[in-house]
This record gives sequence, structure tokens and C-alpha cells, in this order.
Amino acid sequence: MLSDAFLTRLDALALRMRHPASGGAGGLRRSKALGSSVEFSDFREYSIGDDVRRIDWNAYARFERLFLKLFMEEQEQQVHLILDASASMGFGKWEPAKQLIETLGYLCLCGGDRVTVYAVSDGATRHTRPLQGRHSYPELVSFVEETRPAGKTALYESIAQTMLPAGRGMTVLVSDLLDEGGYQRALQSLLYRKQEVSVLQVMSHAEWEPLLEDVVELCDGETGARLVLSAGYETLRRYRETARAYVGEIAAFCRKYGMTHIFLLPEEPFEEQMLRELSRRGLIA
Amino acid sequence: MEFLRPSGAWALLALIPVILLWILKKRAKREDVPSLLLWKRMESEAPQSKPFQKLRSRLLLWLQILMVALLTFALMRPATTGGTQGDAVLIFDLSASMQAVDSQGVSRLERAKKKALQMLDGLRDADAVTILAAGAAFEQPVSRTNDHALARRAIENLQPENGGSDMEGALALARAMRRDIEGLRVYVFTDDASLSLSDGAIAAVGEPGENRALLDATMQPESGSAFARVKNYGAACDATLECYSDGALCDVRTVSLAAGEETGVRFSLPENAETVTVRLADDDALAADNVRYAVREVAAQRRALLVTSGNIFLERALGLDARMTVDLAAPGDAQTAAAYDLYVYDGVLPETLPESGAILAVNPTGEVLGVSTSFREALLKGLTGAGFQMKKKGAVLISVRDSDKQEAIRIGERFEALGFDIYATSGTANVLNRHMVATNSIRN
Repeated sequence: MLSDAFLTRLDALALRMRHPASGGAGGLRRSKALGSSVEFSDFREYSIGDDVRRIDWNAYARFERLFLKLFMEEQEQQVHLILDASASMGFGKWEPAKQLIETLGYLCLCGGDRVTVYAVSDGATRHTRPLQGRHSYPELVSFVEETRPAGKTALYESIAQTMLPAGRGMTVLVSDLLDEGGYQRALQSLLYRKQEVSVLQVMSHAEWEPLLEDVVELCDGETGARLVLSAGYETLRRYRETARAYVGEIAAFCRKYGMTHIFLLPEEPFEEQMLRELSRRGLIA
Repeated sequence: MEFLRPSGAWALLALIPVILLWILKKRAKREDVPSLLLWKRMESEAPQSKPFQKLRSRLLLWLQILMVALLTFALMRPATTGGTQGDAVLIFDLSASMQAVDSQGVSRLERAKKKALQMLDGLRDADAVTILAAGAAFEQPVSRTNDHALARRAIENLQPENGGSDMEGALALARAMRRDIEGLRVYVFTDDASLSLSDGAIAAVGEPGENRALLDATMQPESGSAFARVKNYGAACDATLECYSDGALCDVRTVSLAAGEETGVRFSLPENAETVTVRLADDDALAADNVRYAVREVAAQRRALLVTSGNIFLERALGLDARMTVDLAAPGDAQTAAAYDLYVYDGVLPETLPESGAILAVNPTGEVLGVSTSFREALLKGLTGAGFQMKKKGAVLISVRDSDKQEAIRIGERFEALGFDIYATSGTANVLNRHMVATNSIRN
């Protein structure tokens, strides 16, 4: 749950997108399509067939030539917020993930976008109806709060199943990306559906810098598989290297495909960290 | 290979606590992680460490099991069979030749002892050992004992003798024992190469050594010379013989001997030589036969006086030696002035003992004679001979005059040490008590 004070701060911010929106009718976003809004965009020379009502007479008076005044068409945007609700998210990552979803959702709703929140796991994939408007925020929050992390991570299968509405949009995936089946196909399927993908990878401290004693039996929270190893200094060092390499790999992959990748290690206070990171990476402004 | 102490296998029971401890201890701590993805990735990058990890976690357990196994193995006293199993009889030849010393200065008997001790180590704890010592007469120092320490001591205490060895007797006993006891093994330690044993093992000791022996030494005082015969049992060599008369060196002769040769040597003696010692100057393998003694033979007759009231047996006994002439005298006869070599008093004692000659008193009555080189001993012998029994406990009264009181302290201490109760008159008691001798005071 986000505090009211925080929400007030969010009022001043907005979700930014790299590619301006296109399509859709009457939202508040700028789009390339020139249309009938009140914001001035540009002049265009008159040619036969243009709408006569658009002629800027002041410009004619100055230049003695006919120009059309163009306005930016404000448009709405489709935003899909995908929350990884598998069991692996439950180890200290759930709260930060929820906060991320709620923050982004609030920003989108206040910005006039159409938001759909999906909670994916290998079990049931739930999602809200497309929400719009500030008044839909409580519905979004209740959906998020009701979700519990359970089940295996199967990003590709779950995402492939969800029927995203066709058309461009922005998709934000909040997950730890610890998927046995691999994350690449899932992300690529999103790209295939012409989504602008941002990946917010959340990892807990226990995974990033584990503090284990000698001879532990590790138990996978999702699959229940066990692994016995002696966690000496050397082993932990190698694990840290592996973890960092993994994240680096994901970052390289995202860069290659033009996706935004933000890695988050939740610290207190997470709200500050959230805003800082997201604005630093250009996701919000 | 076999185990001398199979009961040591009980030590394997120590494995039980070892394994129990391991089972109870090695519960790996369980840790829930979100995903094993990264851990598996890490492991797959270093595959060679995996089997070692598995071993390492159990390495200590295996080490402990190995330790217990080794200890049990050691406790069971593993031994390669040296052929000494079962009950054993060890027969030692204690003849004079066993004193012969070999080139390293170790006598044959010492070597035999060493071999025997080694053999003893190889016996199982349950085997019984018998030791027979074949000297001039054979003895049985140890008879069928399981106490190997006792057998070891007996072997170490064996002393060589200067005679022959009664091997036949020892072997006969061993054979008799073999009939009674199953699987009895007989070992004979001897240097006699001619001995052969069909049903036992001969542990021959000794190497042939160079030995020269003096076979004989005699003296002829009339001609002022002494004779010795020397035999060479070894290779040809020179032998030096020394002749001592009455302890002083009087002559030295050197002879060269061929192998096996025997020859006589003549020495010149001074006048009035009483005893002669002939010695081989060089060391050889057996030192015992390098010395011979000779004593001047007294050809003259000896005279003995028998003072008796009638004892035919004594008379006859003394008269047996042809060199002894016996004169009889009745107890009451006056002392003869003649000097006899031997005075025999049967049942009586004269008033005065003769001053020279040997005295033999048979069944003295009434008087007691104690003779010794010290007064004390003589007194003790006399008193004991008279049947005096010294009381071992009781009370002693000491009362001395002042000048003797110091000596009395010493005496009092001794009596106290013997366990007597000491009583003394007041003055003496004061002195004694002051000098830490517990004394009871008697009022005069």
C-alpha cells in the first residue's frame, strides 16, 4: 500500500515512454498524429483538399500565404503491468514488487492511460479489466493486494497465454527473472507484440549476498528441489559472481533488444529508492 | 598372517559410537531459497569440485572409521607366522662350550637366549611354554606356563655351566610331553653339531671358533717343574702359556701348534711352590678352559687322633683313606704331645684344644664350641650350639652407672628396635627418655 503522502508526490510525476503513443482515441498524451486538440504543434502549407477551418488567418496576414495550424492530438496509451506472482517472489521481494506495480499504476491512471495489471504464475494468471482514470486506483490496489505469490515461475508460458490486446503499448514486467525456462522467450514474445518493454528486476539481499554457514541444504521455494552444499567462503564468492553475471547477462540482452532494464535491490526506504531509480532510468519524469 | 590376540576384535565395538556421533551430528541446516537457478548455475560452472565436496563431507567419518579399524588391527597383534605356534618346549644346552665367544664377543649361550626370546615374542598369548635347561643334570625352570614374562625371565637367568650337558634326559622328557600334548613343538638350542632331532627343530648356535685348551697341569716339586698339556682345536697358531706359582708369575713358554695338535709344556718352578696356576695368555673362543690349577701333592701320611669311647664306624671311616693313620685314645687319657694333623673328638671335648691341626668335634656334649674369626660370631655359634634361644620379645631392664649411660643409649635403641619394652631405674630412664628411647621408669 502506498501512503497518501507518496501518492501526492506522484501527482507531480508522469510515466514516460520512449516511443510516443499512436492509435487510440482522445487521451491526454501527445502523439504524432495531428489532430483536433488545443495544443499548437506546427504550420503546414495549404494544399487543395485541406480543411479550410484550419487556416491560420494571422499567419496569412503576415506572410500573405495560406498556412494550416496544426495541433497535437492527445491520445491515450495502453499500459500492461505484469507482476510475477510466483513463489520465488515471496522471499522479501513481494512488498517492493507490489509497491512498484501500484506506483506505476497510479501514474498511468492519473496520466489517462489504460492500465491492465496481470499477475502471472504457472497456475492461474489473473488480470484486471482495463482500468482508466484516477477513480480506478482502488480497484487496482485491491487486485494487487489480494494476489499472493505462489506457484512456479514460467514466464514464457504465462505471458504467451495472456491475451494482450493487439496494438502497441507499454509493458512493464516486475519479476526476479529466476525462471528455469529462461526469460528470453518471454521478453521476445512481448516485443513481438509490439510492446515497449521495461523490465524491473527485483532481487532480495539474501539472493544477492547470501550469508550461509557451512553445509546447508538448500530448498527451492518453488519446486521443492534440494541441494546440499558446503557453503564456504569460496562457494559464496562463486555464487556472488554467478548472480552478478546473470544480471549482467539480462542487462545485455535487454540492451540488445532495446528494452529498459532496471535492477532493484530493495532497501529501506523503498519508495525513495524506487523514485530515484525509475526517474534515473527515464521511466518516470 | 594370523592374529595372536583374536579377542582384540572386540575393539571394533568402538565403531558404534563413532557412527552414532556422525549420524547425530551431520544434519545439514536447511535453508529455503527462492530459486536454485543461480546455485545450480554456479555448480555447473565448476563440475570438478562436486565429487570432492561429497567426499569431503564424509572424509572425517572415514578417517575415524579407519582409525578404529587400525587400532583394532593392532590390538589383535597381527603376526606373520614364524613357525612358532602351539605349545613349545625350549631346551637349552648349558655345556661349557656354550660359553665360547664368537667374533662379535657374544657367547653362544647369549645368542641362543636371543633366538629364544625372539621365538617367545612370536608365540600366541595362549601358548604354553616349557623351558628345560640341560646342564650337568637337566632342570626345568619353567613348566607349561602361559606367563611369557616368566618364561622370559627364566631364559635370561640361564647360566652356563662348566660341564657337559644332559641332552638325552631333556630330550626324553620333551618326547614324553609330546605324547601327551598335541602339537607340541620342541626347540633345542645347542652348539652340538652332531645332535639331530627328527621331530623338532634344532636351533644351532655358535660358529666354529678358535680354541686352545689346557688339558692338564701337574707339578713335580722334587724336580722343580710343572707340566701342562695344551691342545689346539682350531687352526695352527702359537700359544703362550704362563705359569704362576703361588700367585706370582714364574715362567712363560710359547709353543706353536698345528691344527688339532696336542703337546706338553714344561715350566720351571721355584722352591717350595705350593700351588701352580697355568694360564693361556691369548684369548680364544672359550675362556673357561684356559686355566688349570695344580696343588702340591703331599705324599706323606697324615695322622689322625680319634678320641672316643668306642665308635667303630668312625674308626673305620677315618681309616678308609690309605694316607691317614688313625690313633685311638680314650676320653680320659692324658693329652699326647705328638702333633696330629687331625683331631677327632667323639662325644667329648678336651680341657684344652690342641693348637695346631684340624679339629673335628662329633656330638659334643655339655660344652659348646663356637669358632669364628670374629668374637661375635663365635659367641653366637656357641650360644646357638648350646641351644640358647634368644627371646624375640619381652622386657629389658637397663640400669647402668653414670659413666656407662651413653653406651646404654645405643643399647636401648637397639632393643627398642627389636621390639622389647624397656624398663630402667630412674637415672637411666631419664637419660634414655631424653634421647628418645621410650623407657618405663622403675622406682628403686
